[in-house]
Amino acid sequence: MDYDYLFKLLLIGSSGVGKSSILLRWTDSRFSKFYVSTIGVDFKIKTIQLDGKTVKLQVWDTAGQERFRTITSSYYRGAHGIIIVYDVTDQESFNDVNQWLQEIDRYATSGVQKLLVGNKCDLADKRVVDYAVAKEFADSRGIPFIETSAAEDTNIEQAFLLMAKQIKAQMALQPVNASNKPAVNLSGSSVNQQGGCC
Amino acid sequence: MAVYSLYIISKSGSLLYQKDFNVVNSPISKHNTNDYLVIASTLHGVHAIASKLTPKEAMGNYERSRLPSNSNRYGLQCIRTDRFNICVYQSTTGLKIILITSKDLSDLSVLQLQSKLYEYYTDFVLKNPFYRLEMPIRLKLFDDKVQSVVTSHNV
Repeated sequence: MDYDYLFKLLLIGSSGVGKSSILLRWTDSRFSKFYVSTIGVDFKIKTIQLDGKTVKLQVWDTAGQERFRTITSSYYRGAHGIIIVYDVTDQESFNDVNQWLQEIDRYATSGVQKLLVGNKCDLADKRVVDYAVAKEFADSRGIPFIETSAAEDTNIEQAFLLMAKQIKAQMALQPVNASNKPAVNLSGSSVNQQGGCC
Repeated sequence: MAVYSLYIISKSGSLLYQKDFNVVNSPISKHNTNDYLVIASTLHGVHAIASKLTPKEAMGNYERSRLPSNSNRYGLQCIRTDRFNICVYQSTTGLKIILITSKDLSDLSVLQLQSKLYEYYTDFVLKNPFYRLEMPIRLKLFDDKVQSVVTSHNV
């Protein structure tokens, strides 16, 4: 155990928007034009230095395709940050962002950091989602927004660094796992709870 | 009889603690830290798939047959290979204690060891005011306790 922090990041978004490509660019500085669908979940890990601490960012690269979504809830659980990716050349993938945000609300921890990423911004002539439109949407939801290109290595490093800094800052604010939820009720009255631990 | 490796995995599937024990002729090869993280999170995923696959009707009987003190009712419990076993224990709060052991270590002694390790986790990790939940465990006292209890099994 030669690191101080381990952050769990989740990459979500519709099929083919470039989640795995972003990750490949970030960890291996490579880009592949060929599309290979992710099966279930893939992991990539990168070590960074943040304020003198060694931080490991473990990214859970989930499959965008519907048929791999059976155990999704177990992937969202306990994530420190979630990156929602859409494709600036695909209106449908941008429309889906709303559904992904709903999934986050349903499965993820309430204080989770979010980041909206518009990928493939190098394909200027094929663009259908304007920067301004996406920016306005992100602002209305209070989510940071960045446009990236895995092919030309634009903003990839920045996107992950932005996320890591946000998480670190949030942890400093909440030293002992504090959350907005009410404290444990010790008075003995019953509390309605749904579901088990799994 | 030998215990080769220990993995402690948080309820969200992140690796909290990993240790390979010094055993002569261990069939487990060494890996780097990133590989351990991937192994841990993959096991977490497989465990989730196993509990997803368990049919509702089977759960009644399963409940009765399970070993006491182990809340790992529907998930993955053991992977047996030719050279070693991978045994999964899950606490009620979702913490997983995974041991890679030799084939001749009985299920019962593995369970006893896992319960003991869980006890150490609650006493020496959770009660440490400097420990941050869900983060890597880097505590000397816990290290020593783990080492001594596991070494007593490695005869």
